[in-house]
Amino acid sequence: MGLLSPWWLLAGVVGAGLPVWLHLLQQHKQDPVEFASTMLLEKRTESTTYQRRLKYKLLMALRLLLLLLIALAFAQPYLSKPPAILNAGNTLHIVVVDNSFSMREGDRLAAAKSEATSALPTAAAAQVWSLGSHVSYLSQTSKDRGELTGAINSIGASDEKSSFAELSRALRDSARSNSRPLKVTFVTDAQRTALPPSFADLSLEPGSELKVVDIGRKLANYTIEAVNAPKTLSDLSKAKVNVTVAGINAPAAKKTVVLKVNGRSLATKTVEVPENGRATVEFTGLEGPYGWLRGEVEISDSDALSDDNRFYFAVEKADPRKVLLIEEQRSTRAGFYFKAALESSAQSFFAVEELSAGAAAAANLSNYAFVVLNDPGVNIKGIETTLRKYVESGGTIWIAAGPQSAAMPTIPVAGFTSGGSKVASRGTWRFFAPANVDPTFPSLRRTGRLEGVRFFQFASITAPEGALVAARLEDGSPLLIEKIMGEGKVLVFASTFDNISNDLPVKPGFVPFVEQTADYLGRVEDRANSFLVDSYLDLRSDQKRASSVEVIGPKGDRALSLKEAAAANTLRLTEAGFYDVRRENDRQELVAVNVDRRESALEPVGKENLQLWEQSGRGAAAAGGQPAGLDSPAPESQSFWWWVAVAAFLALMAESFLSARFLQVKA
Amino acid sequence: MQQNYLDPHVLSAISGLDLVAKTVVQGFINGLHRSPDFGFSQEFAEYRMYSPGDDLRHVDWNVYARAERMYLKRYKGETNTKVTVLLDLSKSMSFGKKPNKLEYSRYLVSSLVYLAVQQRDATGLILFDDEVRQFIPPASRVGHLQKVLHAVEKAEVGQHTNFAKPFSQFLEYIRQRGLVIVVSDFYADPETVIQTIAPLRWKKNEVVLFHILDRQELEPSIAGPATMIDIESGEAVEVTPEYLKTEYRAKMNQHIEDLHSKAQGAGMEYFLMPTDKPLDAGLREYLAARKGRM
Repeated sequence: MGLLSPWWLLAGVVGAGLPVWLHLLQQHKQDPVEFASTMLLEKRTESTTYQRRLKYKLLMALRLLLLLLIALAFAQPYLSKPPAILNAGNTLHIVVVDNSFSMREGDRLAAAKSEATSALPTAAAAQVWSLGSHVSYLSQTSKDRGELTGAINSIGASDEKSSFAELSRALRDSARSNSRPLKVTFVTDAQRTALPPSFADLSLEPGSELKVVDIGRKLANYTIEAVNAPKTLSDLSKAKVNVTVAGINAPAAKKTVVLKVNGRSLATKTVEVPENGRATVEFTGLEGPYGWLRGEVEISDSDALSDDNRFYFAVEKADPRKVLLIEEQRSTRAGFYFKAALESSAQSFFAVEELSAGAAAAANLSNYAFVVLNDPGVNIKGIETTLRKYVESGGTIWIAAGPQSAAMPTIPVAGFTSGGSKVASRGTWRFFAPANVDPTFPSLRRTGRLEGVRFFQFASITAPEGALVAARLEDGSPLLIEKIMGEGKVLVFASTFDNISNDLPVKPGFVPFVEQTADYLGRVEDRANSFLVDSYLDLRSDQKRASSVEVIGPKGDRALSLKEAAAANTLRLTEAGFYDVRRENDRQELVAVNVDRRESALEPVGKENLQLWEQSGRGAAAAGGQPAGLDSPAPESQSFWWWVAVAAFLALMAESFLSARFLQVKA
Repeated sequence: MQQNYLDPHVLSAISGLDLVAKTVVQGFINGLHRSPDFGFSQEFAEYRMYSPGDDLRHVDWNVYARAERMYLKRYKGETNTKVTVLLDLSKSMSFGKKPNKLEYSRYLVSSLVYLAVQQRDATGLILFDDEVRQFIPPASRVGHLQKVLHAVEKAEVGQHTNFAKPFSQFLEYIRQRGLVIVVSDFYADPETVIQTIAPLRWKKNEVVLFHILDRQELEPSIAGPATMIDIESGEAVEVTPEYLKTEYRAKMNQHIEDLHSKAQGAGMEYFLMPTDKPLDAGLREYLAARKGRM
């Protein structure tokens, strides 16, 4: 037995002296009284007093007991006992059925259910789980065989990828939380790809007994491994769709690949897939109406696992999105370079529209993918409020801070403090080179860190708190600064797009810089045209702002509850197919979801590995030690302060009863 | 109004035992106007039939001559009674609130003596505790009353009471038959007390026992458990209020009852005198006993 707060017990022992003192005081209170004769006060009188003293001693003992029990309860006593998990008399049976995507092969799932049903204990308590990428608890702990069998029968094949590590983690949690040994029967096709990188992740709690029923077998399988298609296009005829067909444990074979858009076959090609290899086939041109297109590539020939012969992708057909370029003066050199760079890309999705600051006041900014302010000066003040509202409601603005912007105390719209123009000169810096460029920033990925670019003049800007500085010049001045404002963002380039303040427009990094920045600000970059099952889809960019998001699942049902639609930030994609996401402002997005292709590898784990996994809990319990990678189970401390408190309460009741009976002054 | 002078609490305010006795007796006598059976002179009281053995000197021959029957003529106001008062001076007599048992006994004894003198009886006094402290032989001469009252007033409590020892001496002091009054709290076994006093009865003495007790002895009450110290022996006994209220009272009542019954069985008069009881009750008892002597 131990005490968590032993000082309380010490205080209680000291406090126990109080009733002793009170009782001594009570005895001294009997002052002697002179009486004529004690002849008639016989020995029976002494007997009565003796009884009274006995009762007082009992009362004092009760009070001492009460104090000590209270002190003991506060000291939080506990008993150390061997972990209950090692107690074999209280075993919990768990039957786990693998319902990952690979169980769709043939009648694997039916066989697994049959094996699971036969593995149910006859009279012991059991639970039924299913395993995909997560563990699903399908029944309460029950001895009712009918309930458990019903739970097994309710298991259906999922699109998830199985994870043995996830099962081991769930079993460890269950063993610890239930404090009882587990006897687990796991019915699975035992795919090799379900094993975690580290075998330690499969370790079980000591006392846990695992039996893996392997119903898998090695099969040849072909699958569409990947599809590379454009995300957004204005001209579908230029679209190129690259398809990778893989054969897994499969011999060389000719496979017919069909490209479909919105369920209509557009093209068919035959590809020679080498043994255990990959082949690529390219389709050129897509057809379809404006909006989101449901692209699909499939292998027309059947094989062992036909459900992985299909690959979904989403393509958006839209007119080129307009970019508004606002300048103090029209037809500047900077505008020319910017427009040429943005429209020169083959995959360009943007068309530049130039307006002066005065004319931009009448423009509807929501029609533009983003807005570019080329060296905004005093003339921009008239529409600055409009621009700021545009940003806060979700728009994006790219500001090239030239000499006019630098001359102002703050950069327009962004509000960054400007220290004026900094100009290179012969005396000090002949030019400024980019020195600290973040190559992971979307604008700078393929710009070669802007190497070789020379800056002769730039705005000396102080980056505000919370802003992201993606690039700096060699003197430490911020060159590219991003700041989130409301739902939108502002990107400030501390120089111009012409070849006067710098020589960036004539360097090879300029076009990728402008193109990537346009994709980034136009939110083209952050859209993938397909996701994997079990990945998460961001639903909101501003978590504080209340907005409703509607998601229609592949089967046409709502994927979000009302509460989730109002508050959820992410959605876990659990099924293969197309998710129709409708965000605020009626912005619609089609998300294609595919099964993790590792599920297509129908190759079981070696028997020796499964045996090692099975022994990870049993061996430790038998040896009294612990499995590799696991700490030995610490003795469990069972607190019993509550029982001490109950005993104190009973002592209090007894003390109250005795004191009320013997200590009251009779009239 | 004068009856108030028989109240012990009133008497305790009077200084001088002779004045106390006089006040008591005068007040008592004034209250006897309806009791003509008791007088102070030799006057005719009654006739009764002659029975063999009676003294022929008391036969009224004139009645015999008229009625030819022999009647004896009885008179009141005998003056030849010797009254001896035995006053217990044990330490337990000092118990009680004012007046305590000894003070009350002084009032009682002095009143009795005063009354006896008024009756022309010879009065004597024996003061004792565990032995005889003072003996004044019965006498009726002038000034004897003052001597007795003085002795009573100066009497102080001694030590323990031992009835056997002093009473064996009383037989030597009391040689003539008369009235013996014993004033004590009788803290002894009733059987022992009666056996000790009984020899006085053998000499044809009328014996009256005045049992003096304080109200606190009869009905003691304490607020809580207490240690009772015996005044005489110093013995300590712890008691509870419950015990004093129930068992002790029962024992005391039994003690009194035993004394009473055993005294009557031995031909003695027993009279319980709590210290809050008016003294006339004692005087009545005296006169009743004296009447029995005549």
